[in-house]
Amino acid sequence: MKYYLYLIVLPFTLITTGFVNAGEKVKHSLKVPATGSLFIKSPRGQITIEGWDRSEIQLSGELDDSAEHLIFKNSDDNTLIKIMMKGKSHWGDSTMLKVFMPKSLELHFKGIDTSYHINNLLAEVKGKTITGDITLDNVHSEIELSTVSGKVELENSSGQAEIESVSGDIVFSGKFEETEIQSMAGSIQVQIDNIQNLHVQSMSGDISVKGDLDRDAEVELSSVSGAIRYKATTKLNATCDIASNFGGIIKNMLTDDRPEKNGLIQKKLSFVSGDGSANLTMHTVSGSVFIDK
Amino acid sequence: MSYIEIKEDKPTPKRVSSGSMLVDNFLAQLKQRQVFKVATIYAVSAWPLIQIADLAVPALGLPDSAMTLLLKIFVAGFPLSLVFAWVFNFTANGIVRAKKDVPQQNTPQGNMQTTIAVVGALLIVFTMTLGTQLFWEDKTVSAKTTQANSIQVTPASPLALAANKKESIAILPFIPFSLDPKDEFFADGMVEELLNLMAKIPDLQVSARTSSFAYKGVTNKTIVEIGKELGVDTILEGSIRKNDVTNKIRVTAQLIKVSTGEHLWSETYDREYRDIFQIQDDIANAVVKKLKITLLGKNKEVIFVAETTNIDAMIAHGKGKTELAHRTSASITKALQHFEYALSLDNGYARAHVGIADANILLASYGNLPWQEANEKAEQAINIALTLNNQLGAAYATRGILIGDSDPASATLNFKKAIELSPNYATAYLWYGLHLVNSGQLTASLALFKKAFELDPKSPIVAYAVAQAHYNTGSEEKAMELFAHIIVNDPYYPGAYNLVGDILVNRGRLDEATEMYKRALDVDPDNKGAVKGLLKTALDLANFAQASLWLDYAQQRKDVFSDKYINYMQSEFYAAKGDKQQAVAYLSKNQKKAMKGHNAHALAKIAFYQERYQATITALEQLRAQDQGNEGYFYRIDEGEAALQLAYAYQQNDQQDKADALINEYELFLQNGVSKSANRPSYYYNMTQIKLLQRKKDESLYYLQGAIDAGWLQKWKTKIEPSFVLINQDTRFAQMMGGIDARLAVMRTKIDTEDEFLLADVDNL
Repeated sequence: MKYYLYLIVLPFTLITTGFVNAGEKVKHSLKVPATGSLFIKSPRGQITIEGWDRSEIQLSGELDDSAEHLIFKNSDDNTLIKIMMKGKSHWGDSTMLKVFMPKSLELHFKGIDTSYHINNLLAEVKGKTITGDITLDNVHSEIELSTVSGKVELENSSGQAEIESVSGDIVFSGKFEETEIQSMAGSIQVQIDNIQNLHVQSMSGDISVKGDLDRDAEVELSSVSGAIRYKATTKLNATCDIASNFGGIIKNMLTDDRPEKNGLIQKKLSFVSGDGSANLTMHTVSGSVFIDK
Repeated sequence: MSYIEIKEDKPTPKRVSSGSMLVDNFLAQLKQRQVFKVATIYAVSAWPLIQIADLAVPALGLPDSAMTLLLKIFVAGFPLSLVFAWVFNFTANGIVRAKKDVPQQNTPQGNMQTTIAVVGALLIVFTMTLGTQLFWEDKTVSAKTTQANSIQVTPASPLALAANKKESIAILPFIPFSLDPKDEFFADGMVEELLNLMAKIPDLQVSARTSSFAYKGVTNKTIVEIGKELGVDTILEGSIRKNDVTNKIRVTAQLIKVSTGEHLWSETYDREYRDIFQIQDDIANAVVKKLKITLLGKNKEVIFVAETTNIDAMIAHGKGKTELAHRTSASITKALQHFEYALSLDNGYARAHVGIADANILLASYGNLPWQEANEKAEQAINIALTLNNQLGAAYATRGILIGDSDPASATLNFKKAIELSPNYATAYLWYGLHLVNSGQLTASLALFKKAFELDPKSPIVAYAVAQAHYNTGSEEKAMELFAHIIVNDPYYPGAYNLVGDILVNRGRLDEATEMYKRALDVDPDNKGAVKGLLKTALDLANFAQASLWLDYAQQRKDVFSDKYINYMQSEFYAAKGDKQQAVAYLSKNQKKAMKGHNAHALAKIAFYQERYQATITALEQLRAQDQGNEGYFYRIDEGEAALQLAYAYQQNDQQDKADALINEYELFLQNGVSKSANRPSYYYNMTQIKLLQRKKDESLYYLQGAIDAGWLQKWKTKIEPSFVLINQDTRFAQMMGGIDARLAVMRTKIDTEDEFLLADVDNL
């Protein structure tokens, strides 16, 4: 039934482009199928995206003072929201938009100094910004996020996640099967909650992981000079392999095992905690490693 | 992550022998003669003094070499103090010669004397070293003052120049009440002239144009918020309403105190359009009067003289400045046209002549204008500017950058003169800082960049310079903080993306670096830094097909990429392919015979890869001699490559003593800065090479793994650096290289899929 409804609706909404003046308030909507993708591209500003149960994408807010016009159109199952700027101008106030979209639609977004706040989605979410922040709440799908200096927060979510940052901080929690987190100078804070595979890599930023490891979980935390901290909430059942290669401290407050010097200045510590069913690896080049409960 | 395990020989039990008795006796003598005590006191006293010097050296405006000298003296003094302790003892009867088998009386007085003697000696050395350096620095400056030319300047150190704090104001763009773009340019031009007038007030710090104009059209921030972001005490804002029918103009202006939001003064001027320059003077005088009473508390008369009386020339100059700030080849060319137009309207406009000089110099940097031609044009323009107005600070700053290479001492004097005349001119601090970077004075240059940043916090170029300086001195975090600041203020400044690209390349995140360089190239298709970054990233990824495409890209833009630049890129291409012969052939095309700066290094590189080690030594020793007493400079060239190649050349030339001395000194240099560089791949990579030169195979492999863990992926270097012969057949080395290959393959795939990512397929819906 729904399919026939779209056949009627789509021809009317096939090409709907809103031309508006810079800084102008906007409010538009488009009927869309329940599957497909929404693409958003805005060079700067704040965009809040909310998933809902209606087969419609609705946007409202105010455009950038430097915007030339807004493109809001769809074709087949793809919809595009794009803020076109006047050349390379970037004066005045930036875009502020609120977007409602079907929660089953995939979301792809891109921005420069654009913050994206995303709530309540069930399909793939992929996006990149350069200095903007990205926050995801209640998103259950495959997630791929990247920022250079913005902050990434992911809460109450599940699925698979891949997060990259250069200097932005990453705060992460949820129930994930597979997670890859990478930062350079930003700190990474992870609350483990039923994670099966977690790989966290940092250069100079600190890594802090809290929570219990699932049976057979694989957790690998590595840094260059940043400190690595793992804190079990109740009990750690894992085979632990810890190393600091160039002089960092290894502090084990979980068991009585103590690190040994190996080679030039390398310190290593291997021990089994509880039933040893999971694997916890913590390696650093010159940082320090702390394990606690 | 994997490691190399180093086997250590287990100590074997020793039999008691006459040898061990000798050792016991020697240790007893050391204790008896207070050698251990002196060593402890020395170490405990020297450590805080080094910490104090670390703070004092930059604060006193001394070069980095002062710290190195002090460290060397302290290190050298340590064995001397031990020898002294061996020979003499402090006793209740004073200093006496220590005798064998005569136990030293351990009295409190003797202990105190020993402590006082060691600490006192260290304090004297500390004070004398810094005092001598301070005296020498001032003497050098004043000697240059008398020798170089007739420019009279205050002999202040760069740090003293940068530390000057005053009352401050920002002048926001006046709002034009009209939709005509011409009125907006008029309003901007008027504010710029006002900025120039106010900047001449000696006791007032005026935010630069770029920073003030960043708030054009911003309505979601209060004046107090803007003032706080700019770090100023007061804000001048206003509006302009022009009536083209009556030729009348209404200008309103108001002065606001940032800390309280209080309106200190406001005025409305209804005048004829042609009276705009009088309005500028009136506003400037009114502000000065108000600030004098309420803020400065001083009674000074300020006479303002407009730099042009031609409104259109003023507007054209403003447009030129806006274009110049983007730092792309196209925008600089446009800027040059605006300045030329300004001069066609008013040939006596000295500041527009400075604009011509600046645009020519920048076109040589960012475009393809030959340096000689650019310098000749710039020199001509600056001479005219100074003939018209010999009190124009901006002109001296430009002359400083113009003669920086040919006459560094005169350049320094010109920068100081510029700052003395125009203490609010951020570019003078910026260019003076760049001049110091070229001579390896990183600490002093950072202070100047920071001052420029204080004056012009919204300028992407200035923020980029501070970020780059932080990065060069070991702080990626601070550099990245500034990156965010730059992008927020100007998302179209390509340098910022190149900076992050460089940081990411260094960290082995080549896929993300590629994306950053491509972003820079999107903004500016002629950006040399971006093309160079993309080429180098493709080479590190061993993607030679892609690297060839970037070479083609550069070759198709001959109007921007000079033959010299392309030759350099070709040499990098062949070096990464392991074809030393071709790499040298391309590098040779660029070289002159002069043994100076980069040229000396390139000549050394050519000789090194041709295995002409005597020629390598000659070139690198000359380069080392040009170090101007700042040892760190030589070690920083190409991240230590020059020092390592010189050491290798010494070894090949049977000058092992020299090689050892250099290797030890370089290792000490790396270890001294280890806290700043311990997380950098270059530190571990250079330590790898040091260990290779010392023939310590296991240690070199251990450090190589550290380099890889820290992000080093330049596998191709191991094929052209001859010292790697020691380990390149080792299975552990093969494993490491295999790991790098796997990482490179993953990143190549990511880049390939990246091209399909996101909006590419729907942009044309």
